[in-house]
Amino acid sequence: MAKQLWANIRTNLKFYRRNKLLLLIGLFFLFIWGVSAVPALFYISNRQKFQIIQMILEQSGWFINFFVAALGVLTVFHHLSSRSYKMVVTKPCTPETWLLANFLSAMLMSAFLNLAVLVLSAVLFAVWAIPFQWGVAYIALDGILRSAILFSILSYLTILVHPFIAVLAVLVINEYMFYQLIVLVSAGLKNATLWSRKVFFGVVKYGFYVLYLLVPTLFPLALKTQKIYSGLKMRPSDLKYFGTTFAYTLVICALLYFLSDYSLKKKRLI
Amino acid sequence: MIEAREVSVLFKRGFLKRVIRALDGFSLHIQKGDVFGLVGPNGAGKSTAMYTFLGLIKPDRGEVRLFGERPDPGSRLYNRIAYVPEDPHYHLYLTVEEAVGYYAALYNDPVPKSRIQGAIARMGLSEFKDLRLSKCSKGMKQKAGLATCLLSDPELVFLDEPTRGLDPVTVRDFRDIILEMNKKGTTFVINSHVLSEVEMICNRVAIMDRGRVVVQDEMAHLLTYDLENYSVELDVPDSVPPFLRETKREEGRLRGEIPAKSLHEFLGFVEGRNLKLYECSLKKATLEEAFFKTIQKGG
Repeated sequence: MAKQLWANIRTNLKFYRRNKLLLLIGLFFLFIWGVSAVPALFYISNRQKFQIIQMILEQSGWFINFFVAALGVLTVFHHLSSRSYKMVVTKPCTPETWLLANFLSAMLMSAFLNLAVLVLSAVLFAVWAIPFQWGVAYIALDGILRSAILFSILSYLTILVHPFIAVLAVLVINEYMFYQLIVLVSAGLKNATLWSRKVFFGVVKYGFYVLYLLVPTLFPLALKTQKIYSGLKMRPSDLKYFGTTFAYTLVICALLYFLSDYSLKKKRLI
Repeated sequence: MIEAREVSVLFKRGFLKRVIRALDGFSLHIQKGDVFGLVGPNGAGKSTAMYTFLGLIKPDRGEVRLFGERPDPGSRLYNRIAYVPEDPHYHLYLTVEEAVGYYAALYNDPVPKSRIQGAIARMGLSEFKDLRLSKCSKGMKQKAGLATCLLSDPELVFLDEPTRGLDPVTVRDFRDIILEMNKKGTTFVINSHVLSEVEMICNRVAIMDRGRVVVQDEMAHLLTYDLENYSVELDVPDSVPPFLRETKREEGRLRGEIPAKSLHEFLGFVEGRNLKLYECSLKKATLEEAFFKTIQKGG
């Protein structure tokens, strides 16, 4: 399996390198990042240096998340729509191996990009003589996990539906939508006078709450780790958040991996 | 080696999910060492049958067994199988060498680099090995696919319209490769529209129509002599007798068919007019004739 896994990872990396759409997405984000960050590097006061590093980290985090998700969508969509996937499974290479290779290739990219941002931040800390903050390392590691969740969700949805619908689904049907719905229904429940309406709103609120819990979050423990992101400071006790996030990511990715595998096997590959 | 029993595959098409029976009670038996041809009109279900053998489509009813096992995509069973698709469904962003190397790496047993180079050279792709498949012609892509068959000494090879888009020289080379591999024991299942090609390479054939196998037989049995008719070629006579059915006339010669019962009468006719008789033999059916006869009969 290791041999097939490695062969698929190498091929995926070649796909990333040679895919013009991915290159365009990368260049677009780099342009946006460059336009907003680079001039600021030259025209800033000492007080603003720290905020610049924060901004770089925040923007890069978004970019890496979207880029890795795009890798997932494009890899799955390309190989299924061009039917080259069937050349893989008519060799002794299981759908499980192919899916795992897709995941690991994207995670390699995510790790590389997060490491690059970490190095850039460390260089800026050193150049500007600001004491290095370990929160930056935490953010890089957390970034890999966040991108893993988004990648897994979009890869799975792309097996089922067209990528456009998959992206739309992630943008619309997420934890925030259900949170907003809960708030809305709670208001309705509070103002309801008839018992039938109270029951109705109660049931609906419960339903939305269950969905809120079921829909995978893209930013696990976002509130708890807010301080790390804003202050770039990390205490040893914060590592427990990383442990929890890691476990959550593992569960979600494993679940989506098995669902993807099941859906791939159900697909008629003609 | 391959056993398909009462296989049915249904496709649902369109908004109203209209059911199309791609395979309808399809049964087939392919033995080890066969070069088996699957022929039939468009929509007969040849490709669907091949996809079902390969495990790419799960039958709605019935059962398919390869080497006694159910074909599950990507299983170890595929170490013994090679497949060349009809359309070039390859990893087009890879170069010829990278693609062949990638497919070789998916097999459990390591394939030496020299063998990969050898397979590429055998298909005449050495000078294009660094060219991306997306930039290759259809024939070159097909050759790259065929090169992968030479990597792993497969016991069973599926070829879906293998010579489509290939030049005549490559077609001949390809035929030689099939016969050479078959001599070593490789079984082939070939899905083709080119009946002359199937007639030339296959030792067994199944004629399919509307998702069913209408005829499945040894090629030699299908191409039997037609004992009812003689094929004749003679000098053009001043008048053609009613029992002689003319098929071709050129350069002072006439080709045609006569019923066996009119042989004596025909010979008397030739002798009486002092005509030269170039050929008079029992007529041999071609696969094309057998095919049309079967399809017209509707099984």
